[in-house]
Amino acid sequence: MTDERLSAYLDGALDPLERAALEADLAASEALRTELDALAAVRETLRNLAPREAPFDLVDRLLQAGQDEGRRRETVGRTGRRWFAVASAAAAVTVALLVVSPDDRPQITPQLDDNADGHVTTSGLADDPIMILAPAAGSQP
Amino acid sequence: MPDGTPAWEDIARDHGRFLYNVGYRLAGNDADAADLAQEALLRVRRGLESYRPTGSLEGWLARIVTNIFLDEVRRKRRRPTVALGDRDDVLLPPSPAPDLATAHDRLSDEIQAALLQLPEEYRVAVVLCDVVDMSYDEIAAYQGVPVGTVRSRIHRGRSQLRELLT
Repeated sequence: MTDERLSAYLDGALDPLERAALEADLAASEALRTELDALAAVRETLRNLAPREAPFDLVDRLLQAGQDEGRRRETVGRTGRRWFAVASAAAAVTVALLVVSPDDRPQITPQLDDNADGHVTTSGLADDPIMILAPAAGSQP
Repeated sequence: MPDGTPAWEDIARDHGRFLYNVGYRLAGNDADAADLAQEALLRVRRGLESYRPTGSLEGWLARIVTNIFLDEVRRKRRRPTVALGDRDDVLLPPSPAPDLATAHDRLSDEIQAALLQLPEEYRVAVVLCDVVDMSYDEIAAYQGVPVGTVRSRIHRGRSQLRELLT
């Protein structure tokens, strides 16, 4: 494993103590100096790489893509707003129906109460056919 | 948008080639570089409202391209097809005819091919340091790792490049 301090040294990323220690090691070791030189060459090569030549129309394509995206988002936004307006209107109608006064609700005819009253027996127990056939226990004729 | 923040159109004009170059160094081919630059610009366009300059603009742009690149690498790793930066035509870029190629072009191709052989974490660290010129602290903050990890990645990346290039 090579000495990780070497790259940091080249990048000026060692603290003063580490740097002093490494410089002492470098002074004492030719192998370490050789390694430092090799890493410095790699670093310089990378840093001096010419930027990759971009296609001549790259900027036009980027601008076009950005504009297309803007239009898309605008369309989506408009559609969203339209749907929101429709949904809001539908919600408003629903709420309006729910809060209509109970007095305004259509009446069911016949009224349930009237219907029930109409079926309540008005006859006495004595006329009940079941009672006639099977008189209650303890009631002797 | 904070005062002084450029419009996305200005970023496209002034830094589009920078986005492309960083994308190329990471992905290793022109088609992916163009895709990375375009996606980065779209993210810039969406995120410009929330942009707060804390470092250099190019550092911010480089982080966006790198995020997209790493997302793509992870996505392709989950669904392996042809891994980004791992294609034959990328590893061995077609060389121009010897009489037309300059020594510099050949060297550039060799370095790019070597870069692509590095593990992504080393490649990203080396590109951010040596191509984008970000500091160790900036890279560590961006990647959410200790500075010592960045130091190690950069050193290992350069050491591997040295072996590959000799």
